[in-house]
Amino acid sequence: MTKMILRRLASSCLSLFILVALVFFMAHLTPGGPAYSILGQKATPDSVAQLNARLGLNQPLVKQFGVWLWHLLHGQLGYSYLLNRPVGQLLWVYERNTLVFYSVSIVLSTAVSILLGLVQGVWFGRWPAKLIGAFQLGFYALPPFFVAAMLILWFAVDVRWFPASGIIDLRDPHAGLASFAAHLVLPVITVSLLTVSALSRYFGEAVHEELGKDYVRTARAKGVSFPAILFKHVMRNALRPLVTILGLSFPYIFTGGVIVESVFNYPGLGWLMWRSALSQDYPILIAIVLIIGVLTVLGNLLADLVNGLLDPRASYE
Amino acid sequence: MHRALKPLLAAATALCLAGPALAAPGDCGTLVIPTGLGVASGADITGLNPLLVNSTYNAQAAGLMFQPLFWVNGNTLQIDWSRSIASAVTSPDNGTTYDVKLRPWVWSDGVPVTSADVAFTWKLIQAYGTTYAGYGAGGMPDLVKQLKIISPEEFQVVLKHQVNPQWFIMDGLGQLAPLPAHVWGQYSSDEIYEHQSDVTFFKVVDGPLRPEALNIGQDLVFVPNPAWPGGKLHFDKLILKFVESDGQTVQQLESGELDMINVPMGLWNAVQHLPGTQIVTLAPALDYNEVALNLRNPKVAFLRDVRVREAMEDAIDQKGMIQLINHGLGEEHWGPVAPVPPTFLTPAMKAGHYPVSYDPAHALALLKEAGYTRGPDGIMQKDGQKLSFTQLNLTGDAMIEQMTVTTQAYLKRVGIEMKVRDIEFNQMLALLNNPHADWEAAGLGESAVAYPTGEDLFKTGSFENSGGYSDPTMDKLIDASTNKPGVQGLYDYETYASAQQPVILQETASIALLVNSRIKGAADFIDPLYNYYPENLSCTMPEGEAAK
Repeated sequence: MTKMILRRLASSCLSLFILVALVFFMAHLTPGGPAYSILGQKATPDSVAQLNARLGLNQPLVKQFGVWLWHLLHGQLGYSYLLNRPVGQLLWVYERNTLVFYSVSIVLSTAVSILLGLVQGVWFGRWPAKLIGAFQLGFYALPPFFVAAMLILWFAVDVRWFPASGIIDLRDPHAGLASFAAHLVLPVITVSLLTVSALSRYFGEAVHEELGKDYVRTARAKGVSFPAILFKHVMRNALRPLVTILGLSFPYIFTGGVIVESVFNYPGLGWLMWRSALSQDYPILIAIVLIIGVLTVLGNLLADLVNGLLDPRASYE
Repeated sequence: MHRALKPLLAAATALCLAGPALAAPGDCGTLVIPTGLGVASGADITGLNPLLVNSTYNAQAAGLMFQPLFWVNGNTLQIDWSRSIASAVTSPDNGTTYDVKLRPWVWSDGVPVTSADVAFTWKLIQAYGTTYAGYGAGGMPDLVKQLKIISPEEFQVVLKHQVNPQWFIMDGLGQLAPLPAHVWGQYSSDEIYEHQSDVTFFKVVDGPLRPEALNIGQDLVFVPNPAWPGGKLHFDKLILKFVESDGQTVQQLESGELDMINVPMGLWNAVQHLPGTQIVTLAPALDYNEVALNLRNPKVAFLRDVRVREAMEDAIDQKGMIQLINHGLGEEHWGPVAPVPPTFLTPAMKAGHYPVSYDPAHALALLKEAGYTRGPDGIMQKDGQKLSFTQLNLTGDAMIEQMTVTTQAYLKRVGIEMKVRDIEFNQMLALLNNPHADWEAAGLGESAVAYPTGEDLFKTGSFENSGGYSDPTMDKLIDASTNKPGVQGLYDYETYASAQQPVILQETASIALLVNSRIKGAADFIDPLYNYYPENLSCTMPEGEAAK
């Protein structure tokens, strides 16, 4: 298994290099440039040239890429042109917000999806499953910004149970964990509703399929109780596709969602990526792309490993 | 409801209730407003150094921290000496030498503000060169020959040649706002550049507010500067929250997270009767909208004909647009100088007489005179060349979209076709700065200066003259407006610019604020030059508190 992990990681390095190089050159070749974001509307050809020289953006692109790679190998992700901070420091500020937000969302979504999927699989074709199916289709079809806007209108504006934006109560100098948690509620519900609608459907289908298999009939014929069959055997097998999907969505735990974070003014990594792309703040943009790439690789690897644990027949090769 | 949510809800409710309960009579506690209040949709504040500000948002924040040498009141376009660090300025030779006296003023650490601080600012401006945010405006810094400290309370500026004193004092000399030399002096200009987002670097200020925290991507927290001699502030904190979407600001005002917001014109009717709020209309800003024209581009060579440009201006019903898009809030802008306040308008313009005005019949006559006739598709043409061009617009601005669609309709009525292409801000700036780019027209907003001459806008080769407009008469008039004492030069320039329409001038919109009812003084908080007056804000007691 160790060999497999090392081989997978080694082969991923080339993919990551190509990904980052592509994004680097594409970002730098788009019209405009960070100098215009920094200097604003009063930018002149002279001031842009002076600033580009200061930032090293007047160097050949290949040389700039080489410098960036050299810094990366020394553990430096660069310096944000627009926010005037080291990229590593900025990423940490935004990353921790996203990490909490999406970890809570994914854990909650997975738990609810398993619950709903079990009900849907067991009562397949009957009204509880149909009801859940309607919920799944309904929420899967809804765009995230709409769900977010509705939740804000109902719970932040109408009844004022939860705040509409940000991560902390700005008026309370002693605001702490409770305030942070309150600010998480609506974004987490938004992401969870949308995630559950997809995950629970996959899981429900898998449970239904497993329940129709020969080993279930044999177990029942031998007198094994239905709950034991369901939780010990069916669920374990049905979880495999769910784990694969969760593995693929692993990067989102770190990079967040541009739309949801924007609607809730939630300062997460997805939101930072969007802003950086618009302002052509290359160092941040490329660092986030690199993170997404690394996490996609790790997410897939993790999913394979968990699947292997769930089903020992699965080959690591 | 899930049991686990109950304590959370209780905590959130308690937090919501705690704010008003702590407020003392007349005191606002913490005020939270979005960036861009009174200006436009919000954006992040990314830097606090007044010499490096790259946006109105950064400039507003820096303006709250550092007191200017001359405070130009946007409502009168006169220097308000009570808010200026300078107490007097004289020009003994009427335009070349300027003697400036400083009034007693202190930094927030108690150290007096002196002419050494002004000299320090001057040194930094020179070091930053073209990356200095105000480079070029009011002739700064190239026009200045020498800055000499006479005493801690007095300094002298000598220019390379004589200029119009009123222009230089308001647009040039005013840029020398003191910076704390006793704190910043230990750093190089590069180090100061690198600290522009570091609030700890800005712990010493001489303006009304001191930054406490800049939470990147979230907010900028200000606390009052107790040493500020300008008046008492009625709040403990002022937080500028970074919210980009107008719709979000409305929701956040309704949920109590924001105290004041700009009214999005698209939601004008929806916000009219929101409980617990009041609508406050501000005086129109000095800025205006324009259609910039690329006169270098041979594909749209017809735009070089002043009759075509004048016809375009005559075709657009600015009053109608103000009614339709801005719900009647705004001012027509037929010349390059703001009509409100009318301080620098010519006497004829004060009486409403401009070389151009809304007159579609005149527009058609001008096009006919220029040799254009309607083609089968209704578009004017001459020698096979259609009066058709493409305008670049910034993406994502609903107001600009509405203006563009309306302008399209007005132009089409006189046979001019305007197509539209959306583009990102950076890309737009890069195109405008490239003299060889083939853009045809661009929808822009033009920011105003206190003394509104056109040396940056329409002079041959000037940096905001993106379309390459060049006219010897205009150059001569602009030179006269900045170099000769008195306002006659300014009058001649603005009259000629109105007739020439180097860009198609469009109306300026007024901003209306939606304000929490407990807040008083919102109308006097912002002036048309986007200066903030935080001392004018106060609050009434929450109802519960008043009953006690």
